[in-house]
Amino acid sequence: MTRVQLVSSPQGPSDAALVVAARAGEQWAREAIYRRYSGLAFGMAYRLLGRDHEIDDLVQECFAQALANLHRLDDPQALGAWLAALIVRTTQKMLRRRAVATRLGLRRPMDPLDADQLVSPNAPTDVQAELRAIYRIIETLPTRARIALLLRRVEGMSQEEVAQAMGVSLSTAKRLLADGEERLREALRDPSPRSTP
Amino acid sequence: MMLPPARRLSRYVEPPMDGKRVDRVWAGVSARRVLIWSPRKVAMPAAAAAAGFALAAALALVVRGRTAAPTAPVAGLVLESGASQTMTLPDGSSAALGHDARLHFDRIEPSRVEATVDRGEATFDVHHSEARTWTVHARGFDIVDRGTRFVVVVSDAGVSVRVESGSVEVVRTGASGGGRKLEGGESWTSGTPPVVSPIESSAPSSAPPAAPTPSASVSATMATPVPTAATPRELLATADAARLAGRPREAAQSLDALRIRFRHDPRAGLAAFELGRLRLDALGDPTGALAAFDDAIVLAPRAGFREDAEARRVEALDRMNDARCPAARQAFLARYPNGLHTASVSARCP
Repeated sequence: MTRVQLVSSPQGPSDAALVVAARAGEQWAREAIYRRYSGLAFGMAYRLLGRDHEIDDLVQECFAQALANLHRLDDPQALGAWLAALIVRTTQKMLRRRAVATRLGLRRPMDPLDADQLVSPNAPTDVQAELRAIYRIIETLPTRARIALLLRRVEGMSQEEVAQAMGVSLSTAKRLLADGEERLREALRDPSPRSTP
Repeated sequence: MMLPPARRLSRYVEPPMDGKRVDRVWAGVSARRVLIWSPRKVAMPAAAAAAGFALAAALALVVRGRTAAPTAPVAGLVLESGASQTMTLPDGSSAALGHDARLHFDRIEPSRVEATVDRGEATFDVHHSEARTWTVHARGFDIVDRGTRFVVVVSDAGVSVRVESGSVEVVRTGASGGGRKLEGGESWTSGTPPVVSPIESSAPSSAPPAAPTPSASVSATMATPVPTAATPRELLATADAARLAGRPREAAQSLDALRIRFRHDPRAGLAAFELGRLRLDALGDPTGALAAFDDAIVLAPRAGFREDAEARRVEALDRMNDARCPAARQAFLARYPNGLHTASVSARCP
């Protein structure tokens, strides 16, 4: 769990100290962990789901799980990476359940993602084009390819980090990324809104 | 075409954040304490899925039959849910089952539909037709649709009916009259233990219960949907587990029970707010969401989520195409001119 650029502990107790205190039942430490990493969690959840109205549920679930399972964290200093992986896997489960429920007619289909709302207008034009293309195609991708593409192209993770966060082998991560990036190439080639299948 | 090298672009895709939102989610996390989440599969039992598809197919036949040749009656279909599920019928009517509910379609004909709720919660959204009657049987009572959306709950505690819009009439099975008409927002409960066959029975009940008349306890508030959990904490835990397992209707049921049964609990307001979000986002029920958001504001007028609740209230009115939407939008913008949701609310009900 090294080389994770998502983690930047601000001043205060180290992650390891917080984990130890939280494991001992200290409520302040639990809340400190949440507040230290809530920005990371909200941000990742937002980018992976592409919608705002579901991320509160996701973040709440991730922290509830994390705080209940701190004893499973082998390296307390790797708290950030552990949380990031938890967010990725919980998001993946949520997307899969949603897809299954939609296919079975148990849930109404989601409205299309609104790239204009997602992408900051302050982004450079080339970045805007890439992000718009990404968010135009991700709902056409299988869940794992979607997650892999977003981790690589938006979160900026290496292939190894994508594999680690998703809990898959490196070769699987490469294959998923190849699928997603091929679709992204097509979308960038033809930027019309319905260029993807 | 070569892709640009992968780089970190996350700073250009950030959610709207403020301290209140962070606080609100923490309130939800801390309310759950160390609840151990046990992932539950969304998958319906195969038999339930098969029954659901069979029902849809049968109903499609029936509705087509209304405009073509008469069709043979369909009877004896059973729709049973391990997880929540909704069946939308070809005419737009729908029957939604809560967790572990069982609905028995006794008869589906062009001129009438009869169903029996054997157990659990079933929500009916019926497109009224003068040419067709729609009756739901529940433990010795008949709920006769008058063009409405209503919820029937059958449990060990008895039968309850809640009308969300339109009206129904509740009569004792076999009675020729003397029923109780319920309008939107009203509810009724039998209030006595059932004396019919156990809930495991798949047969629709026919024995008349030793129950009071339908006028026994009509209230203008929503009926308690007979939760299995008893305390606010258990209800929250049930709601969280159901929501994460992809069963928003069951989660909504628990939150609804919390806000109604434990109105003085400090978590009641949050439960009402979460209920509104579920109804609006997952259940496609802006009318129910509006009621829940209003209740959240009443229950917790100084809560950190008040601004969120008021913003979502405007969204619900917008989705209902309700004439009150512009006034609600203006009120919101006057109250929160620089709020987190100012931009999105400004775009509502143009």
